[in-house]
Amino acid sequence: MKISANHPLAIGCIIIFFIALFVIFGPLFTSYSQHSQNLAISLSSPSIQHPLGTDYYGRDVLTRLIYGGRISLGIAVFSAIIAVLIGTVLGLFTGYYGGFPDLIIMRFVDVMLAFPRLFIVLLIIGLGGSSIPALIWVIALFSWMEIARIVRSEVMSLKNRTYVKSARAQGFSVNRILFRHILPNTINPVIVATVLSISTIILVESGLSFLGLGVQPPNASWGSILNDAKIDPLGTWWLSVPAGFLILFSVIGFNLIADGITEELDPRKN
Amino acid sequence: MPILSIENLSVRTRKFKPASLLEDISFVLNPGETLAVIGESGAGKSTICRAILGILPKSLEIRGCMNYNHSEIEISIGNWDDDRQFTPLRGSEIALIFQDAAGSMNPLRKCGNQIRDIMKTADNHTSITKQSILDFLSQTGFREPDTIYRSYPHQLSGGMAQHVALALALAGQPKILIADEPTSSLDAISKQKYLDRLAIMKKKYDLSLIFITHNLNDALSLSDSILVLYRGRAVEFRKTADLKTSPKHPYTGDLLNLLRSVNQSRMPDEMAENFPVGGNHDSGCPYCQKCSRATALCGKTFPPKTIIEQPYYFCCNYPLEKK
Amino acid sequence: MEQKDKNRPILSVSNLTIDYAFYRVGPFSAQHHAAVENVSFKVYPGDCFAIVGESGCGKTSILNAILGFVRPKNGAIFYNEQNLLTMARREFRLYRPEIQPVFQDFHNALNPRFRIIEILKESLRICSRKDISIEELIAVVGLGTDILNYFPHQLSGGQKQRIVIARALIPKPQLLLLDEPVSSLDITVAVQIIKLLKNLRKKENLTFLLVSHNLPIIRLLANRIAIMKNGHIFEEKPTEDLFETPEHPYTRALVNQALISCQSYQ
Repeated sequence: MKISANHPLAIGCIIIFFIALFVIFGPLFTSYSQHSQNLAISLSSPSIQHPLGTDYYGRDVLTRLIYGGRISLGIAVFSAIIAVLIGTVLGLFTGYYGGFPDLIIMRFVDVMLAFPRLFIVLLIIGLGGSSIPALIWVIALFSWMEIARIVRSEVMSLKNRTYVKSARAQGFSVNRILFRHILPNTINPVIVATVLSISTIILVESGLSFLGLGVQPPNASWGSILNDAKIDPLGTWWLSVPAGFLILFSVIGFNLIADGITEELDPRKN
Repeated sequence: MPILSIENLSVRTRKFKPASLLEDISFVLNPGETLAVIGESGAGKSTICRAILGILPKSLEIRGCMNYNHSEIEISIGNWDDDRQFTPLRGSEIALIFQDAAGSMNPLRKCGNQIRDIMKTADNHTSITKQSILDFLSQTGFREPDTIYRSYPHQLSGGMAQHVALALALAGQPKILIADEPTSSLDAISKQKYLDRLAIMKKKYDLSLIFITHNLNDALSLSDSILVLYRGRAVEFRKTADLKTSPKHPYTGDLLNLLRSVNQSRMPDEMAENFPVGGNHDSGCPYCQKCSRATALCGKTFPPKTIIEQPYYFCCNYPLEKK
Repeated sequence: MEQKDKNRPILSVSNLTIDYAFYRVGPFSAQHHAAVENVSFKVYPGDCFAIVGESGCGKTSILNAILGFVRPKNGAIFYNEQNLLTMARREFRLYRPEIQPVFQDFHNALNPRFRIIEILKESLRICSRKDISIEELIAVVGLGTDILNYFPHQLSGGQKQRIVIARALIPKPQLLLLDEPVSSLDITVAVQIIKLLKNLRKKENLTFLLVSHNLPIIRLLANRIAIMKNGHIFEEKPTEDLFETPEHPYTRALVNQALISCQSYQ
């Protein structure tokens, strides 16, 4: 694999690498706590002490961006992993067995896809209350459908491949055929779909938090920091612009990685 | 004066593991004649026909020169990357028929409309009436031109799709027809029908034909000259009649021996079995590992062309003698 | 192992009808298309029985039905006098190893993610064959050990087909179902594979059920030929009889065509 020739993958990895460095090792370079309030310096613009200024309660914005990033990215990654697991397992079994269960599950997928995701998640969080685990699960439960579809269609074509037929003729067990001969060959589109869904989930979570229904104070996420800036987005640009750019760049980064992986896995390249 | 001549055509991959797909291929096609290109799958047969029309991927490096010469049109191509040079050739001078006929047509358009598109391009965008398309279809041998006109490619049987693909190619009024394994997915009877029609059309439209196949029987019975490829090398280019009686290259000889015994329905004699995996065949004769006559010399450099009678040649250090 | 009786068919297919249903809207308005209609034939131990017909005539559907991949609409398939279609799943599993397929599409017959050695080892383990080593196995199909560490896409067509045949031999089959085993190979390689199959049939006491559209090549291998078109078998005869006295007009056309094309080079 020659990554240097694959610009989208290289650029995407560099962006995500720096964002990851920022949220993982960021706390080593700030002396503030994300929650410590100091109303005396409320909404002060960037200075030497506070490189990205302070928010309404006088909390250091840089520190909050670091911790908020952990929450934003954490929610995205965990939701995506759960969604991929659900989607892969359902796709694998419906694709392989077909028939009535397939019909039921795929119509259920259609119903799920018919809901506008952001609003249904809003509704559930609004009714049930918001916590980070709840956010992860609710977002995941409304994100697995596309992956199930991708895996199912891959499995449907793979199960008619000659090597799967040969394995059946030799008396291999269904589990062995599914997990050793079919699943590894569906993994390429699944990786791409996972990376793409991370970036869409970042947007969903930011949207929720911006509307005030996502991560609850005093915890921060990039979306809730944007929410803090909504009274005067231009006047308090140090609140809106850095958070906005972090969301923008992590979405671009993950999308570029997905693009790059698609290109890298293109069989014609090898 | 040949209608098409190819000199020293080489096709190599540019990036990632430079590999040679075709190496130093030369042949000529005389007007009204049929040239058969034979060889194993992967020998480079299809690469040649795609190179002639300039439809190989741009990632390939193509060297050599090609001369097309028909009455007033004379085109000679040295720089294969320039797409514009091929535009006057494609469709109206040289047409290509693919193995997967139905797949080479637009699945969303009726056959009649697809023929109209090609006829329009050939006649400089004059309007074509339905009647003229039906006439053309019956001229190309269809008994029910109306049904063909109205059907979509997927509604045609495999044999019929090949016939329609032939009509599509002829609609552009080409002078050269390149048929890339047109019969390999057909059964014996529809294959014979197709070959018969191809022969009639060739006469009717005064075509020169390049026939690519891995079926030696077809190649021998149809062609005037034969180009034998082996792993991207032209090992022998001969008149068919000469090739039948005195093959020079050991690969051609082995092929013909095998063919004879299969045709006489007896098991061929034991051949030296050798299974080299991958390996670099760039420098030496690619057949040297299977050849009963090979020496160390054959493994080092590819033998130069021995010209029998311009333009026919073979490439072997130790050619077979006439029996 | 059962005593092989020359007069008792190892495989007997009677009145087999297979049809495929195309579902347009959910489970409603099904369209049926009969791929095989009322086909009967018997294969005796040690035979090489060939079904010849154009593509799409239903010959592959018969093989799929024998392997249990397709559920026929009607008819019976007897293997050693046991009806494969009515027996329970568990019982059918016992017969699986005895009937092994070799498909036409050898490019897809080997899982692209595994090396040849892993592919063969897995089959050896699952079929619990301890009496044969991988080296012996690939020597049977005329390959060297250097091939074991390659991935399938690094092999030539002929080599892949040899590996597929080797793998089919692992469960010690009685009956080998060959679906166009050589039709996408070049004549030099095809002839070698035909030779290999012929030798194996003698050495391993195998019975072949062969499906193809290429009469001249089949003639080298088969001792009985059935001619099939549009889902029906028209004529079934010993090979040489078929070539000398073809009865059905379609058979005659096929045989004549084969003989004419063979005259191009004698």
